[in-house]
Amino acid sequence: MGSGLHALRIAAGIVLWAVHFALVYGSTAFACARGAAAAVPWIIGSATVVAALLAAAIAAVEWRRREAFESWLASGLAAVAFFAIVFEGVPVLFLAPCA
Amino acid sequence: MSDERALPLPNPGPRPAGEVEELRRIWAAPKGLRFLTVINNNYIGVLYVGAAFLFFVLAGILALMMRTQLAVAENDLVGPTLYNRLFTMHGTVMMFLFAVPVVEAMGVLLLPNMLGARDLPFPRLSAYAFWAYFIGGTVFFASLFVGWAPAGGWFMNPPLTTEYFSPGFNEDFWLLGIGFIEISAIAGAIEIIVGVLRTRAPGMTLARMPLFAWAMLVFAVMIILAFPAVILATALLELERAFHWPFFTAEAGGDPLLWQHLFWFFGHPEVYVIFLPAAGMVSMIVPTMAGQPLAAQRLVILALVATAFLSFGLWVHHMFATGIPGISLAFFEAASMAVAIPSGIQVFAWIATFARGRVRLAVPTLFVLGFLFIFVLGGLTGVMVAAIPFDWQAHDTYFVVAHLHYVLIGGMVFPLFAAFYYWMPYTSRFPLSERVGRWVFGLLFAGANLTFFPMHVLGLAGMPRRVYTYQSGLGWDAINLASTAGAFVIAAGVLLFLVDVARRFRMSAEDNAGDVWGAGTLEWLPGGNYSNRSIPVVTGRYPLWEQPGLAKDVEEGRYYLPNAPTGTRETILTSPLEATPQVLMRMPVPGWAPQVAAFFTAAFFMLLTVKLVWLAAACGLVAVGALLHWGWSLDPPPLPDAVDIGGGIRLPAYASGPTSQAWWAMAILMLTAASLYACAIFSYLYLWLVAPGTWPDASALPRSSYPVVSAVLLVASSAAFGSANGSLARGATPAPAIAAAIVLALAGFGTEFASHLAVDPRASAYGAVVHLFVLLGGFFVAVAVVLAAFAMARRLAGKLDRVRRVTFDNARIFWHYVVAQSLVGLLLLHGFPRLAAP
Ligand code: HEM
Ligand SMILES: [Cu+2]
Repeated sequence: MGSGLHALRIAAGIVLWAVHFALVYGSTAFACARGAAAAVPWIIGSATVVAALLAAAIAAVEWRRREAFESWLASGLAAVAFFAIVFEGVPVLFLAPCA
Repeated sequence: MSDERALPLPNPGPRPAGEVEELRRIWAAPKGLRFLTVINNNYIGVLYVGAAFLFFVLAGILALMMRTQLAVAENDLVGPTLYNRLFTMHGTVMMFLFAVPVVEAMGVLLLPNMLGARDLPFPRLSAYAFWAYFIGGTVFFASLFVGWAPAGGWFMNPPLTTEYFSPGFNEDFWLLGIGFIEISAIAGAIEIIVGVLRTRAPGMTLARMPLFAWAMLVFAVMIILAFPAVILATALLELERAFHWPFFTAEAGGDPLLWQHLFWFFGHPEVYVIFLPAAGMVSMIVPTMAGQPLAAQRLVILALVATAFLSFGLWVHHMFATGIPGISLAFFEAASMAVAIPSGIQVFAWIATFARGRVRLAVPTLFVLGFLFIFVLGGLTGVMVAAIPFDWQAHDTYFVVAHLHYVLIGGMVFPLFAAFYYWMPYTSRFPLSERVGRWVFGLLFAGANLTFFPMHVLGLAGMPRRVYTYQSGLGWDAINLASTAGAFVIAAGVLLFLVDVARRFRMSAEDNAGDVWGAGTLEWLPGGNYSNRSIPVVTGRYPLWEQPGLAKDVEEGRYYLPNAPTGTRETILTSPLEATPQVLMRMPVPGWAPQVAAFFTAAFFMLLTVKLVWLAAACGLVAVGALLHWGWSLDPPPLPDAVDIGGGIRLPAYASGPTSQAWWAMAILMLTAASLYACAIFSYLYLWLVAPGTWPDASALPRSSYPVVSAVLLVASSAAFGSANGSLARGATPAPAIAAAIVLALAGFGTEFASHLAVDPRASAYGAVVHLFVLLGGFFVAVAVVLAAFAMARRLAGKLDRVRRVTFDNARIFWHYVVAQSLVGLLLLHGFPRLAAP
């Protein structure tokens, strides 16, 4: 397998986290600046659920190949990404958007 | 793994006489004045560490001046203007001229030997990075003596730093000086990434790679991603100061917070850029001092990478007090708390390793213990200020000064001293004195706590940071005096250290003191300027512990490449994951080009600062000339035969395409460019978000035929370059197709340029950011054109053909990248306003 593909697999969790982060942060800033506060919980909520499920899936798939260090690392990073995604999405349950 | 250990040696027999002498001759450092052209990593590494330490001492002297001023209330030793310059220069020099360069320097010094390579893959690039940094840094520091030192604080927030509030050259010194030094940091990072991924000893898989190398890899990737943000920010502020493009001026639709976003997008990861390599050093020292492999090595690697990426989601915690929506603050608050966990994992791994082994209480161990203590305290106050209500209370008080010094001194200065003591025998004939070292440790530890612990109290008692004096009777007097006394205790410790270094440090690669600790990793193999006599096969994480007789076999030349088969400097390029040998890479020898280029690039930036534009331009031309001269010697002629390195392995002595080191460097450079461009896109969208009113509606935009024509021309230029590639592969000349590509790209850019002529960059933030994209686009097209013209010249000179084609390939991939990036720019500048128009 090409090393480019390997690098992509190791980075998959990180990329997912980054996309979720940019989406959640960017759309909140946008919605709040343009008076669309009501949309914020929906955007964050759905983005978080989708991203968290994907991260969990990556972690699970890579975990099955964990004897290879690269897969172990990919799995671990996806697991970290999973927790970070959930952790960063949870405040939406407790806080009023755009306050 | 005893079966692996029993692997047959690649070159078991006795070696012919004279091989070592030849290696010595080939890798010898130049003598006399020509020593300035030295490029060997061990020399550049030591010079680099030395220069960085010099800046540490200089910034420390500034700190002493500040502490002396603050020792008693209403002191009039230092006035407000000078005090502002002092804290700005102290913070800036410590962060940009000491902390980042010194870890990069340690990487240059240690990595090749640790990985079993003869040198880093681009030795002239390290030399360039060092000289550019050293010259630029020295001039920057000297601005203090002529009253030109910046005074806007180490993060230079506008509007304070705009021309209106800070006229004069002072802030320009910061912007151009630091912007330039960041470029040198990026050059070093490219070197380190390619070195770690492509020059590891055979068998050193990613899982077996030493933790310092892992840390440096992560460090370098972070630099690649984070530093472009600050380079862009400095460029924007300089454009505003020099040409009145209002990126940060609210009346014209700009926003000072844009600076804070860009700066802290760099600035927070910067903290980990500094800390992770230090953690990597600790992860090398702890196992040696405990005589035990590091506990939970895989988890520690995971923690390193996790900290790195999480740290990119934290920047807004420096902006809790700026009025960003609460829910957005909450993401950052959550992330700020989460990032403490991977750091915790590393701390537990070190403690567990100590607990398992019999700890040797040498000076490096003491510094590691001091580091753990101070850093954990700094981490705790960090979790405190990550709590938003507390941050609002502590913001801009001495509590923050205390916190940041605990983190930085604990997290990087102590590990660095541990590393100095630990690796001194690697680079010097004598180790440092253990007895003096204990005193140094004691003074630094006591001094750091005495200086900075009281500052927590001061902060809670309400003393703001960055004040040049204070009234007595506020309950601050005694605490300030204690803190000042502590600063002098630190100074005494540093002085003692310098005395010991002067007495015992004698640089030497060949008869260094060597493995005095009984360590397990490759940098402790016996060697010389050529690094190791032969390049070992690695079967585990601690080869010197696990492979008996390794040192002797390496020294007797029983492993790979015991000689110099092509008669010049060379090392083995291996595959990035499994480290299987792929290419015998021939390496450059010393010459003046990197030093001349570094000197004149530094001169270019510094003269630009003081607005001597013509002189600056002349220096810039000389620098470009030197760079081209340097580039001309890249891509040496291919050798017809593969070279035997032992063990039945024959390696080609020439590579192009993805196995070549040049291809990797170009790929990383493109990643840097992409990060810069992404930051520019962020700036555009951000400005639109805060001031949509300055955006034109669809009727006021350039006609849509402009971007269409521009896009067609650009795509056609890419196609032309593709056909040049086809010609070259067939053995025909690519020159006509390259020429066509150049004309098409220039026309494409020209069309885009013309379409925005009606917009005034000074009138509004919209105009400014549009012209920023034009400027960026022009810059990238210009670089691509120079690379392409260079390839054509190589063809004319007979240095480019279907085999020897590295310069062409580099120009080609960069070309396609620039076209793709320009198309994104067209979409943004012409598509987005149409989409977003009400
Ligand atoms: C060695 C002993 C050191 C002492 C005695 C010291 C002392 C000080 C003092 C007195 C201030 C100014 C506080 C104020 O007026 O707001 C300061 C600020 C600062 N120091 Fe240090 N410092 C030391 C080491 C370091 C190190 C090693 C670093 C970084 C690697 C560092 C980074 C900074 C930064 C970033 C600032 C903030 C500058 C600003 O407000 O713009 N310091 N330090
Ligand atoms: Cu931070």
